[in-house]
Amino acid sequence: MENVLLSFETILNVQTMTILLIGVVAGIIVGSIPGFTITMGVALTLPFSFSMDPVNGIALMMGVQVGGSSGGLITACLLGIPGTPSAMATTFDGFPMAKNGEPGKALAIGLWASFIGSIISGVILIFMAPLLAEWALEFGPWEMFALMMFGLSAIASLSEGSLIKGLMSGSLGILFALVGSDPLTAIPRFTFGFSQLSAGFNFLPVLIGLFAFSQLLGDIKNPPQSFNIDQHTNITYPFKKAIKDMWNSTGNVIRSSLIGTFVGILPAAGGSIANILSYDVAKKFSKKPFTFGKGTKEGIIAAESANNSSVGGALVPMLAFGIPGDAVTAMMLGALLIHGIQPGPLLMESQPILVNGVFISFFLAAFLMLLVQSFGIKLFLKINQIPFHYLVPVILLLCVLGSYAVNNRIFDVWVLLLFGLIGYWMKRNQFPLPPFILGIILGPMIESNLRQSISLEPVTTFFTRPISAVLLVLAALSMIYGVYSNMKSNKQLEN
Amino acid sequence: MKKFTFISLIGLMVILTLSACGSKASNEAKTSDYPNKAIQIVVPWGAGGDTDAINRLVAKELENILDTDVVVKNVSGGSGVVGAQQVLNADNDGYTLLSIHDSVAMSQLTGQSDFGYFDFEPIALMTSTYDAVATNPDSPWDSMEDVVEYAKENPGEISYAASIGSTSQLEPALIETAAGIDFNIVGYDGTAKRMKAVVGKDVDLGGVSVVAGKDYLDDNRMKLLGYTGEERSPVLPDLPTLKEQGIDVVSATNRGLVAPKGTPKEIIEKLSNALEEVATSEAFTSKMEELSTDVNFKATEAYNEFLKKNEKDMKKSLKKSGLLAE
Repeated sequence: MENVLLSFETILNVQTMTILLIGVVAGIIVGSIPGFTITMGVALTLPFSFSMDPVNGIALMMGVQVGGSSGGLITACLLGIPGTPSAMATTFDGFPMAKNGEPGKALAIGLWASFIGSIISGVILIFMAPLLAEWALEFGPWEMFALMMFGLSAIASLSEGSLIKGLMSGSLGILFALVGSDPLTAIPRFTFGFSQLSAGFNFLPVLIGLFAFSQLLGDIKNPPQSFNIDQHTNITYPFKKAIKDMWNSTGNVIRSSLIGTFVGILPAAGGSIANILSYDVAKKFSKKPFTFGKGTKEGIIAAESANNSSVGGALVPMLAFGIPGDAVTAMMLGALLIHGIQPGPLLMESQPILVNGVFISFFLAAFLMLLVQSFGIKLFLKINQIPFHYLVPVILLLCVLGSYAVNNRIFDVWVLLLFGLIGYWMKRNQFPLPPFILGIILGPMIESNLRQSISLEPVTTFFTRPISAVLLVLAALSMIYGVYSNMKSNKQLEN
Repeated sequence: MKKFTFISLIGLMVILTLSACGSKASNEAKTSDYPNKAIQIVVPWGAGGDTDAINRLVAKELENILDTDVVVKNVSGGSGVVGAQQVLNADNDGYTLLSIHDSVAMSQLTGQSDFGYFDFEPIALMTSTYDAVATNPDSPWDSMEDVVEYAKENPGEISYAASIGSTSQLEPALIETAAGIDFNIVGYDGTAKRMKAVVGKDVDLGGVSVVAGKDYLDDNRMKLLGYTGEERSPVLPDLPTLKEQGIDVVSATNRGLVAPKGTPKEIIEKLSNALEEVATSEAFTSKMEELSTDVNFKATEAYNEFLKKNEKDMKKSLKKSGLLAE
């Protein structure tokens, strides 16, 4: 406890707080621009962090990341385009709610869910990080494989309407993920002799293509009506109501934040998986699952509290094992290494002030995020007044820039265009996109963990290791339940 | 139909804009006033890794010495092949450089790429990093000798985590041939992931970096069995080298800088001199010590010789272990 207070002292000074604030504002900006990701924002701060002391350097990155995770929800709700990959499930309900005339409500609920998600995961970290690190060690390739299977089982319930089309979409995603160097032997696969393809399709241009570019293509075809907002009503949503909404969904908020934190802790799982997984679980727990996808606040709450809490969770493997949970923590790791701080099991004991400082800056960034966004939302809602023919080219340009910047090559822009067309075609033919994304994220992880597992121990180990067995049973149940509810809702439609 | 035309028009516009971006401004660089604009160092790995960190430090010091901007550009993917390809085709005016390590030769020799060290102009070698062979504290082995003994009786049973296609794969392969044993080599990319697999007892052995390994060692979560350096590490003076334990293996990650083929000699020389200044600067050496990396500067000529020998040695050991592409 003494250490926690000491860490507070290191963080609570004008300089660190200013750095944190700058980070949060920058994060919200990059997060809210489709095609610009938190990763890019953090990469820009990397050189600056080298000349700062470690706590400040991390605080700057933390600000960008926390701000960015909440910035992603803005375009997700207002345009139906996830501002960052981890805001994907936010579009499922955020956009319909905005279209139904309540954009202010969608943003406010998303913001508060983000905030509370961060706080819950921050509290867990400060008190339980070493314990959680121990727990994460239990996760070998067997457990990771089982967890990813559980994630993949969400395809069943995310396939609105046609389960077959959902499965096809998911398989297609896995198929595209196979392109590039084999993860274990580095032998090029499906590259057709193009060395550009040896790294495979980068996830980001694929995602922007599928969601943003295809959306814009569709919008050109059928220009959307601006939200059905009665000009006389106040489109902003009062604080009190948003807090009350949270209060009424306490179970959902806590469950989603826990899912987010735990998924974040597992190496390489990350915010996008947390976002979709907790959305799917919320849908399964809900008494009214049919409202999901049509603009229910439960969906937004589940999605947003999970992606923000996963940010906190990802700090644990980074600090405890030096394993980055995602690209952003990879850069934080770099910033620590450059200062000669080696993450590892001893870091939490040998540098408690630094470690808690990291957690506390995460905590404080959440408050700053709430503060800045409360004003920001009013500004962002004005996007509705911009004529569509100005908005589309600007967003398109930003998408192209963002794709280029991922890896500094034009090739990724072509990937964006290609997947834009694929996404457009899929949407027109009622193929759901979320399973595709699940396939492309989870496919490679399932593959390497599966292959590592079977080259180490016999296949039966999946069922003899307890955590792995439980997760596989959960995956099976989730699949059966998904198919069952899918059939039930189809029957209701027929009647 | 009208809408289709509209969409294709938009597509065309995008394509035109893009192709405009792609065209290079042909700039006759004069070697005498080099450098007169920003220099780009392409790091073919992600931001935040060891190679990235080292090159960002190099870039920072170079900026002061050459009095121009030096930008690090990360182009990751394909075990470093994608970024290297970009520099292979870049202008040879000295404004685009590539950071490399042993993976360039490794990729070529194992058939994953069709270019090697000498498709570039080597500038200088900067650093060498050695690994340690680690196992979990409950394992029955206390030295590499124990490992070899066990492996001789149970061939192929000991699992060894290594990132396949990079230098860390070379380690177990070299040990296998030197000691005449067989491991079950399992792909784990990244030192940190290997380390967790060793600590979590998922695998029996793994190559880990010394700084990181030391931390686990102090916490009694890992046993280190051998060091891949020529001599013992100053960080872990109690850890015997593989050579001392009768396994004739030295394996390192040697990081240096190269330029596109045909870059003028004057420019290469100027860069090599500037890099020597970097390598001897207090700021650089102290940071490298923290990263437990040896500063191992070799100017252009010596670096050329070094790469030739490195390639030859690697070829020999790859051939022995059956990894060499025909």
